[in-house]
Amino acid sequence: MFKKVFVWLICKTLPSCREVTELVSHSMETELSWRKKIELKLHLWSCVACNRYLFQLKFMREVFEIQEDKFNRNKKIPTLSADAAERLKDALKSSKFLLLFALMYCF
Amino acid sequence: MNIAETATTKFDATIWVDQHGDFLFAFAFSRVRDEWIAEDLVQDTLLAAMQSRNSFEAKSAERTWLCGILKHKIIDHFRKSSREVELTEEEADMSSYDYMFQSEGVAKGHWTAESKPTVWQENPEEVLEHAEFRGILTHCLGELPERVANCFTLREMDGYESQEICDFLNISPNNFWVMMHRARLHLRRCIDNNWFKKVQH
Repeated sequence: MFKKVFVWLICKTLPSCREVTELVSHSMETELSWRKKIELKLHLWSCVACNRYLFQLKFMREVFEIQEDKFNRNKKIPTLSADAAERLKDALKSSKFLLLFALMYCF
Repeated sequence: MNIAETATTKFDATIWVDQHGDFLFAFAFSRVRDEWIAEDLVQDTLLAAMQSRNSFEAKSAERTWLCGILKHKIIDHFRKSSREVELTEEEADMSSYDYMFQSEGVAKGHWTAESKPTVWQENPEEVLEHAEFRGILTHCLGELPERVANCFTLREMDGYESQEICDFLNISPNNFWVMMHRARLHLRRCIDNNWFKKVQH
């Protein structure tokens, strides 16, 4: 009986997993109010799944960070097709002529 | 006078395409996830770079300088596609995530058995070694509404602060949080389903 009341109390007073996913995401952007912080801590203390959720959001943040870092060191990147490179070069060349024409027109 | 000098010096901008084309394209592609838009953005960048070549100081690397211009072009592109202030119905709709949580009973609002986050064994360095995993990341981001995905990449790839992103996309902080929450719920689930729950790798 006591246990049931205890579980009921916890379920009713603490935020649900659904609300906690929002709090977790929020906490990665800004400082939470002390009340929200306590609610979050208490929930995480008792809930394995939401702990994993928090862990995995941090995991994803790290994945994107590392990917950016690798990218900047120029590893494993998608490349421009030969066609696309030609198109770009053409655009640059023709823009030069345009610039010359513009100049001739101005003076 | 400056313009005249630029035009008359025999500088060949096409060399940028060979030297930095792939890098700039990949950078743009990872943000906009569309080859044509990425190519357009690179073209705009190189054209803008040609015109402001005089302002380039040899202090910074050429690539860093070009990448800086490209970043501005990308944000301009996002800004253009983000005219409306409020969230669209599609962006605000959280009901598509209802299925992840129990809808009734004592455990209302708690994870359902099949949506519960599983254990992720590998570490970030390891998973990124797999081309398939990198493909899944792009795929999962592509499933989100465009502005939501843009929001997420600006935050997690480019590391902009919340307030800056709100200014770029013309949204309120509250809507920014909604979009980030949405993006994370979706991405975590998508990565879990497509990678960690499949054991073959």
